[in-house]
Amino acid sequence: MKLNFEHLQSAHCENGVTRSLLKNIGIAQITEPLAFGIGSGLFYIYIPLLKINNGPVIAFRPMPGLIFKRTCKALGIPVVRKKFNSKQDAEFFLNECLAAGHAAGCQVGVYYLTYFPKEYRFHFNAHNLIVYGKEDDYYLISDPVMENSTVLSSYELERVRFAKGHLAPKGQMYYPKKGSAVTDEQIKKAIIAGIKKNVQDMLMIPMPVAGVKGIKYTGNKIKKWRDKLGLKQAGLYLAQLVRMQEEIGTGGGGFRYIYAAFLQESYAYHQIDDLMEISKKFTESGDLWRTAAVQAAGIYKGRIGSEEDFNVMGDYLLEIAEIERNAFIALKNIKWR
Amino acid sequence: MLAKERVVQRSVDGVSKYTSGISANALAAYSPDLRFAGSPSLRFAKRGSKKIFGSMKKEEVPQDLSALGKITKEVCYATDNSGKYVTELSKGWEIKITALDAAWQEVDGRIAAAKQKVLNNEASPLLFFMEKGLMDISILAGYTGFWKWQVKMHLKPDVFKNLSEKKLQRYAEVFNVSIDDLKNRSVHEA
Repeated sequence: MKLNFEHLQSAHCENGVTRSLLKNIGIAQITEPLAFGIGSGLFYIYIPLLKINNGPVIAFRPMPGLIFKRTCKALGIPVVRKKFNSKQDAEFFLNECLAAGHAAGCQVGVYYLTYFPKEYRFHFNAHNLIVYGKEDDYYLISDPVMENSTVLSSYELERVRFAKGHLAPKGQMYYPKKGSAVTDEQIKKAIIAGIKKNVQDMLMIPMPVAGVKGIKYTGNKIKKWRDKLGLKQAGLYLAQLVRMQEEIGTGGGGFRYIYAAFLQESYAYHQIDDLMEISKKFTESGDLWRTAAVQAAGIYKGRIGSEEDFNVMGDYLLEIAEIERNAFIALKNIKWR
Repeated sequence: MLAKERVVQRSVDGVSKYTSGISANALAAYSPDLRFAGSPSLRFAKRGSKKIFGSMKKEEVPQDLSALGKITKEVCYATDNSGKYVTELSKGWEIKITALDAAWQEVDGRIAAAKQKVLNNEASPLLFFMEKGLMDISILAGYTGFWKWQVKMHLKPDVFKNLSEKKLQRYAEVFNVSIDDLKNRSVHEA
């Protein structure tokens, strides 16, 4: 059985799943940047003391699942979401969904994802894909970061849906219920809600490690990494930062470019000139994130590595924090009509 | 005016398109042999035709073939001539490729260290298989269904020696090897 489903490629898996699932139920206006912005997808957090793949835990986006949840909520679309304890139940429920005509999003781990290149297969459990049919023993898969749709055998799908480790997916699946169409008025409201929530996440979380304060915090930490960790370990930490920032799914510059695109698209709904101006600020921030990545690469490749080089690296992040702080304050002060 | 335009103005020749969005300092940092050269950007351009630096202009999205790029290109967001954001496919970016390489070198180092520990009888062969599977104790505990403290115990050679076949089987299944291989630390390159 194969549902009528069009595979769309996106930069980020969760945006992509959100956009494709919505399009599948007839809501075609939501582009990837809109899904990202309405879902308040821009974030930053540095979690001290915890480690992933023996490096620091740094995230440029909120917890997996939030973008989909917030976007659907803001647009008034009811969502079905389920986690499972038993593998049989998980497969049974998925088959039921498909039979009822719902393509479903699944949270999966990347380590056993057979169509990914070996080099990318770490124990990372926050990937998302869409299942849109089953033929014999093979599930039809639309993975938004891939150019083409693909397949997984039922065993392979079960293995990735029940990956273990941090953020274990526990077979989690979700889909939006078919409902009425979404009006421009609803999108307008959703954009405002998304931006407000994002301002809150980036400016007002009372912790030094989250939001723009977190970027500043990381910048100051980096300056001490060389002494504290030694050159080699510090280089690996920076490599981890760059991977979180640029690897599959961020659209470049740690999602900052997607957010800039979102603000541009918002202008079509709200003719407020500030949106276009602030969009440029995020472009600037994305550029600076990439400049910082180049500096980091110099260090983890061993071409540079003096105390001064780490200070320059840290200062980039302080500068970024300042740009983003001003950008979000400007967003906060927009007078919505 | 955008930050990258400032940089473009500073550049003297056609190579500016490779470096827009990236400050001159970072250029020099990435390639220190250029730091003292008279016309750094020009020499930089002649180092192969490959673009090392990315930026946010559509035609400047980096196209350095990565492991992922051989299988699929990835979507990047960049601006067109009018400054409007559009999507562009990228084969990869040198900076990301080397970050991934660094991560894998670290993994290889850990596997080699684990191997040595097993040979020195400081750890059970499970440590080697765990590192080879890129796991840590909590991930291994998740896949085998043991508690973390149990896995920690099993990593000790003396405890491992006395493990029942049944328990060994659980590890063998996760690592996709036979019990014999597990005991002898040999790995099937399946």
